[in-house]
Amino acid sequence: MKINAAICGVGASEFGRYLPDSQLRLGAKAFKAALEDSGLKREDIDGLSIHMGWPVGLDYDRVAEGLGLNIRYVNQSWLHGRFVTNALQHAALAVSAGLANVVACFTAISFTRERDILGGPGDIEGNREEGGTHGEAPPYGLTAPAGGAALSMQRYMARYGVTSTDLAEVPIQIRQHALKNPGAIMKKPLTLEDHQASRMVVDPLHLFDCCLVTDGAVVTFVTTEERARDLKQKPVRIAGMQGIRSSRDEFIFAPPGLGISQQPTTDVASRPVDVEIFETSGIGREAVQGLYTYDAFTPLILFVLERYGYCGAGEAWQFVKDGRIGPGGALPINTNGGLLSEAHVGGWNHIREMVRQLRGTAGERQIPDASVLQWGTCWGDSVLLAA
Amino acid sequence: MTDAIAKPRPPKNGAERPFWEGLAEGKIRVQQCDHCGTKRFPASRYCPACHKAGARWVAVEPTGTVQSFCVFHKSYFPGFAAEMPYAVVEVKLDCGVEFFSNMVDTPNEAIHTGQRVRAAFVAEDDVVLLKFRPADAS
Repeated sequence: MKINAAICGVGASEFGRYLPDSQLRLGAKAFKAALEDSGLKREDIDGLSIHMGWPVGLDYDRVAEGLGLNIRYVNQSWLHGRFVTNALQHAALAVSAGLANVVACFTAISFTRERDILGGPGDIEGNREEGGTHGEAPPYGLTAPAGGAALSMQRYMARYGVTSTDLAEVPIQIRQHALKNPGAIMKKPLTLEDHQASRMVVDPLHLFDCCLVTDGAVVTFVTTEERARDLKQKPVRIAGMQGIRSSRDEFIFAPPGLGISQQPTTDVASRPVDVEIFETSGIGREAVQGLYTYDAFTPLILFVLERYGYCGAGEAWQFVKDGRIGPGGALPINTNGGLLSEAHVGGWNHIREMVRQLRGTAGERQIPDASVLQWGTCWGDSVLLAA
Repeated sequence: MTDAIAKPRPPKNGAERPFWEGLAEGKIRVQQCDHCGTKRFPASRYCPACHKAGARWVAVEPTGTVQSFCVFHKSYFPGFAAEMPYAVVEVKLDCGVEFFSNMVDTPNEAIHTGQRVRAAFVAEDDVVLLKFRPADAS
């Protein structure tokens, strides 16, 4: 089956901390904004794809009830950033197969009211006997997603001679993007001094190596290319996809080969399996004008650059220097400001930004003549979006 | 609430029960495949190498190497508050099995990737945990 899918509408609620609205109300705001954006009516939406449910988000049936939808296709996956791409991909598959006309990818999060879930005593996932979803080992105090990212970065630093000041290049440039985004939560420039002086969360990760914890909602509509062409907005085509990778080579926040947990220690260089998307889509890496990724922690941006072959093994910390991933850089990354500086809406705020870029409506942040952008995570899953 | 109560504890009657019982005897026991001999932990019904069922619990050498580590400056669980900042190490035993753990009698600054370590069997409340100390420590 050939993928025949495009994003035809996107909407968001306000993003913030301790927002008074319920998740459903935030989601409804984003849904209405997406209807307005696309010109579609509520009755046109007949599919739902959700990457999180209880206890972090709403389950699909609550969304359908709450928004008054008549749904004939549902995908609901696991409450984790790993399933953002999966939710978008299932929407694309569903419309390509004719299972639905328009699938709403729905994400509404109140992270600030549910902090305990992120590594504390309420972290059901992290307290499983065999270790949690981020490699947690609670009896030894290895709890919280930051722990897995910190272990990975420490080993990466030891193997490739990288320091915290090298890593600081990443959040500093992502913040520069955020300063051009009126909707971003972080409003002040980030300096190397600020980064180094910020408190440690899990050494070697400083506060500014960790993403924001925020509330907000984003709704994205996916339909077929033909249908999208008849609608109000310029379609954003789903031009290529590859799924999440899973094997003993994978550890939640470490590139294959780094040697964390069950991973063998080899080179962390990009492998053919990491870049199938460029071959299957017929769109080469050199055509990509901007890269978007799930930047829960700053090391993930280094790992993604290497995984998708933008640079060689252990070279990403040099690649990012001299403003290369910031505004006007050779490869801008997360031009909305990312999870690090715009807001944490599960990465759907990045998908929304990609849509704006490919429509040419990103204002001061506009990548000139943006026609191909890559969404790719440290887990190997990726989507190419094209104008 | 005391620190001891607030710390997360392993379920001792789960599939890893022989491991936790071994620690109380000063032994590290992991599963070894009856067919190909591969050692594994955590417990599983089938061997990840040859996919066959059947394994016994065997004691392995208590020495290994630090693969990585991190230091928690944020207390996610109240039970660890008194130990802040505390280090978590990832140790690969010489038999190939990996554990997340803590170091004992070692300042955080003295921990490094590649460090040789030896098991320390540390009783906390009603459980013995597998921790490590530098191999050259007495």
